[in-house]
Amino acid sequence: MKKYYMDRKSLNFLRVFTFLIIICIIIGLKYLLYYLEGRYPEYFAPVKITVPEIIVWIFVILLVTAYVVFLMIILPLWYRSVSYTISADEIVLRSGVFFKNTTYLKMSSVQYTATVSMPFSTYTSFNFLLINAYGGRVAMMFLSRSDMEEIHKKIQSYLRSRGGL
Amino acid sequence: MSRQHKIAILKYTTKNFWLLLIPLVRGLIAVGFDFYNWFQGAYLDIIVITLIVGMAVARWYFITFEIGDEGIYVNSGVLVRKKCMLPYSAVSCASAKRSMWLRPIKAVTFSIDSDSIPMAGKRSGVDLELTVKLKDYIKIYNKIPNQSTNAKITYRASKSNLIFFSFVFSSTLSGVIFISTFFIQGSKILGNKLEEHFFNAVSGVTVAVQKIIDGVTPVSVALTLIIVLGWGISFISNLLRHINFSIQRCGGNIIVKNGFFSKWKYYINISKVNCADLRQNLLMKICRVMSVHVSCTGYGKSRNEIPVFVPVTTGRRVMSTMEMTLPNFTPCNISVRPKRTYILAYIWAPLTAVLAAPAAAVIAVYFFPLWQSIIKFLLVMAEIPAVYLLIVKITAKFTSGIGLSDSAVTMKYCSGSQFHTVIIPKSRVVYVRLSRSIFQRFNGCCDVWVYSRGERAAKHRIRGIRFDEAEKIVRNFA
Repeated sequence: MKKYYMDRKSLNFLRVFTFLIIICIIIGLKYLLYYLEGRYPEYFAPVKITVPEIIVWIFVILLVTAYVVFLMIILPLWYRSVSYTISADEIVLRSGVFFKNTTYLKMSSVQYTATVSMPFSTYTSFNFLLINAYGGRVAMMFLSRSDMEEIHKKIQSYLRSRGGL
Repeated sequence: MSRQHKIAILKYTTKNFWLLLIPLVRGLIAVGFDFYNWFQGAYLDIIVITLIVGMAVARWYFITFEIGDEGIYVNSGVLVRKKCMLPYSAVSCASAKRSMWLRPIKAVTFSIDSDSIPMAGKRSGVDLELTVKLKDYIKIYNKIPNQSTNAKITYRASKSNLIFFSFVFSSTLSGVIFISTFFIQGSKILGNKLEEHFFNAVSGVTVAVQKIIDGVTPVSVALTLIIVLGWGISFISNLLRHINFSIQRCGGNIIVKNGFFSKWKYYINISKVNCADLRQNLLMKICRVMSVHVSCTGYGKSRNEIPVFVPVTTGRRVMSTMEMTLPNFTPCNISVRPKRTYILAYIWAPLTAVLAAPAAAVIAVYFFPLWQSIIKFLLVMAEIPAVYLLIVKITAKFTSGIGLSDSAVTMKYCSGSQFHTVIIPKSRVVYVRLSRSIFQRFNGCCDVWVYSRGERAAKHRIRGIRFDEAEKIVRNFA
């Protein structure tokens, strides 16, 4: 029996990537405000804080709050809660921050597996293992490439040992 | 690693690719093949088409497959790479389609399905579909295990049986969907010309019919034409699809072949067949004939495809074929039947329709007296299926039930207008559920739901079984 966890490289990548996207959105919104000021100077001249400015700033605050809450607090907790246990008979997936979920999948019901890797997945750990079983599918997410290949090999060897039709 | 046949590139272009291409070619002809002027006018369309084709070529190039000893290895995806190995042991049904336009270029559409949900997430999708070269298809075919070389033809459907089968299982709805798709797509290319032709035909037929039957309106003629045309298209497509039908038992597999223009070949893994369904409608019940359908993931999944195992034939012939091909699916006698007084649950819906339709017609005529002829026509059209359904449901009340043998469960029930005799091996039953409404609590009855294994569990419902008898059945499942 071996326990696997999600690779934290993917968490760092998600943080940086989302941060860059938020910066781009904020820059875009600022540019939109400048554009509107240039296009409608008579509307922006008399008052200091206009309605578009209020909307843009509320949107920026919401984005930043969401970033802090989800990517700095909830996502690390979720990463800590997720674990995948592989034994000879079953695969156990545990996850959940507020509600704990445990999925037990019998090895005998596994039909086949598929791996999905994003570009530069060695550095980002955006590797996914999809396990297709009778009537459903479970996904192991954000695994390091070595872990993904190890689990994949284990399941493949089980499928081979199970034999023909 | 091999690649698909180059014709697969067309599959990866967008659905409306042709709508862009047609005006482009038309423009080139209009300028007398003056490429310079043509490019100046249509450079944006040309860029878009080049991008679409380029993407399709890239998708085709990056899909590679290898036929291994244990299964088929497939790599796909341009940026996001997906690697998948589908072991032969998981295959429930493999199918090969040789369309009329694929045969001359030696290409085969090969698909494989297992009991897990499809990778694409679509209900009608399969786990793997490739358009391969004929030589690759033969390689895959030779690797499919459990095949005996002593193939023995066990059943070949006669032409008359197939005509009757197509007659019975043709659906007006699927034909009407085909007609509407034809009109929608046709109008994109030809404008309103198709609709104009149809309305001209309707007015022509109306004039002709009015000479025989007085007071026929164009609306009723148009409705009748749509229904008859829809049914006719469905009948012809069913007949062409199932003509030359034959089944062979080859070791642990059953090979089903059919088709006229396009030829289909299915490899069904017997150990993965979830249930057999002997279907009849009222006419077939009177004639004592039936057709056998099987539930095996991947078989009968695509559009307009019926998972037929034995097209219409007599009960005795069906039983002998079943014994040879699916020995574990022999039906047993029905031991538990619905409670004698339990009939209202069976007939309330069609009975309501039979009584409500004339009442609704009277009210409609009162408020819209000018529409009297159309309302009369609609009333007749509504009453025919309602009365038919009422007769079906009364018959179902007296024929439904459950029987148990050592290895399988047999259930007789009616769903819609069809009578089913379903045989499920006990090992393929996922679970059994007994449900009771407030009325059923008073008369000691319940509905028995049996769920059979599959990509998604299929449910079978038998109404009005005595609760104590149902509980005994549930205990016997263990």
